[in-house]
Amino acid sequence: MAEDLLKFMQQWMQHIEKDKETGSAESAGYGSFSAFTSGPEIPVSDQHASLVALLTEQSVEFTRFAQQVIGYLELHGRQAELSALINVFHDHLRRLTQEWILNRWQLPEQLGALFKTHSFQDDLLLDNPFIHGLKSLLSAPSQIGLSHQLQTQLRQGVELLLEYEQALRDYNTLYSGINQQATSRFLEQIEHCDPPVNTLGSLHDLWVDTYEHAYSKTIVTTEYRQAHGRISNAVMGLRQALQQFRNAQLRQFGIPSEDQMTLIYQRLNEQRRQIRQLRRDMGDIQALREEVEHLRATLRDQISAAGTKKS
Amino acid sequence: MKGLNLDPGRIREELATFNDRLEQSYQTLRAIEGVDVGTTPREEIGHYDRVRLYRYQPATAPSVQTPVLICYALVNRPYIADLQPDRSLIAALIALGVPVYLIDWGYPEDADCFLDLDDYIEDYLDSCVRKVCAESPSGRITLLGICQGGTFSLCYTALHPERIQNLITMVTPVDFHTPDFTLSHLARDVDVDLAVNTYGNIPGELLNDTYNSLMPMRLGVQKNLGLPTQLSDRDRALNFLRMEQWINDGPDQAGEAFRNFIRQFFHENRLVNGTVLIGQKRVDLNQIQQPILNILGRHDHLVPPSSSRALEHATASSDYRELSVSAGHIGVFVSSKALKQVPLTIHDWLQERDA
Repeated sequence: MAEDLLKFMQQWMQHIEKDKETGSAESAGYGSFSAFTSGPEIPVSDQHASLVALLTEQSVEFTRFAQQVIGYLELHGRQAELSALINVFHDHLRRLTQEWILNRWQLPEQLGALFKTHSFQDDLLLDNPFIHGLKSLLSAPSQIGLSHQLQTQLRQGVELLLEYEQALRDYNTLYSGINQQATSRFLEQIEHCDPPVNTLGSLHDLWVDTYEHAYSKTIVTTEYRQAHGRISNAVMGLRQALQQFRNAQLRQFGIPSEDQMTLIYQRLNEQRRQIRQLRRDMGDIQALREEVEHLRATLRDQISAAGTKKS
Repeated sequence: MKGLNLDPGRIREELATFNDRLEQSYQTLRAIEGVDVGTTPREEIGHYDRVRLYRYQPATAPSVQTPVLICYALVNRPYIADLQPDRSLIAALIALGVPVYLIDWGYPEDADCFLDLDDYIEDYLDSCVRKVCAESPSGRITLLGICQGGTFSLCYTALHPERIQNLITMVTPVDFHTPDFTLSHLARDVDVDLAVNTYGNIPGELLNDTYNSLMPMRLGVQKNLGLPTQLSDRDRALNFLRMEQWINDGPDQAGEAFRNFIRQFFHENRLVNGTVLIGQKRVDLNQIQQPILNILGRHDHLVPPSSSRALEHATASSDYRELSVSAGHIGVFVSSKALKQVPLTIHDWLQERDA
């Protein structure tokens, strides 16, 4: 998280520098951000660092949008057609949604690094030199190319990647539908808002309400459930394939792999259960002993009482 | 667009207010070094591997004899029931004279990936129940289960009715296939075997993302835009930070237990069909004849009221009562409105049924 903070500090500074160059009027929260970072050094928890990063990011976005609105209104007057602005607003939120999808369904770290320069909307996501190279490598006979096992693993990996790409496309199509429904409802609601929306905050709130309405209607459908399941399984499938690939490599070098660790954990758990059972059995035996002791004592008392009576 | 009336001057004012709050937020955060949670005094009276059993110190003479054992879910941490002194179900209960015990499942590690529901219910939960029974005048206890912990409590009570005097379930899923159970609907096509075989233990972060995905805009854009308002005042900031700490403190889930739970409950809805297996034992909810208090949140989007309400006709209890609170899944434990209603209702209900 501290790295996130550092990243945002750098972005912030770039933003300020840019504002200075362009003579931009507002630099949201810069003074306050300085207040946070200046003064005597205090340890910053991960939670605080993460929040400061989020606050800074939000303020940049919010200020950027507010400045666009102000600029537009000053240029065209208050009675201007605001649909162009609404489009800007909508694009901005659509971008946020797509970032959210990408973050949620990102490729496993190792693969993600290979595709860092591509967005999932990019047609070149899986049509790039790396994949082409891999495919030609796979088509080479194993006698002159890679070992059969490696070739099989790589082929499966490519198939999983293609499945991921298709699953993400389908999922994204559903999200586009949600966005469209939300936008229609949003525009409809704006037409009928009484009193009229007069702050950016309430404009955001209206968007959230309309979006959640469209979203909640879509996610309960079978189509969404299947798309959600497919993308979940595609991401996990890729991750698992990478792990298996790594485990095979580790085995070749004689290094203990996750598979072997899993086997050890399984045996440990079996032993833990056996110990638990033994402990329970011993508890039962102890309880039986106590019961026998109690019975013996009762019997002794009764014999002794009978003896006293006789004498 | 007649419903839109934006004025540059007003937007400037809005932006200025936003920035003032933002500045105040930075200063507030700077002045807060950390947050404390779960501060009600307690002592550890048992531990079983990573599981801890706590007894809370009574604040007053007991008004109820039968001790209450709180069984929380494996997901998230139990300190939501004792978030801060003025937002604490536990503190409120002990202030009313209810003897309270709490199970903390701990944080499973890699080596715990083979722990299954049999381990959690028939070993850990059973050990805690036996321990508290030993401190109960009647040798029996009230089991209070929260969310997934409520489902565990139902299974346990059905398997060991002789140890349970009363049963309280809070925001507990019972029927996992009600039409409005979105979380269950989404889980239906997820390959749980693949998940467990891939991750071993299921990362808490992954589950957190899943919960957030149920309302992405409200829990994303709207929450983030409201941050400057939440953080500009110290007390509000502390409340917010405590809640955030709890939200982000989701333990990983032991793989096998996760697999068992998703398959038997979410995918196959076996609890209401009477076919759940814990180890080799079948869970028959008809074995439950104890008095039941079922507490649910009317606005719960994680466990919809319809799912919890299915309990009314699922057991053989002839003493069933339902308390519907105007709150969400978490609000039932932390909202001031709920805290005026829930602890007192529990106390009175227990007192009427005290052995």
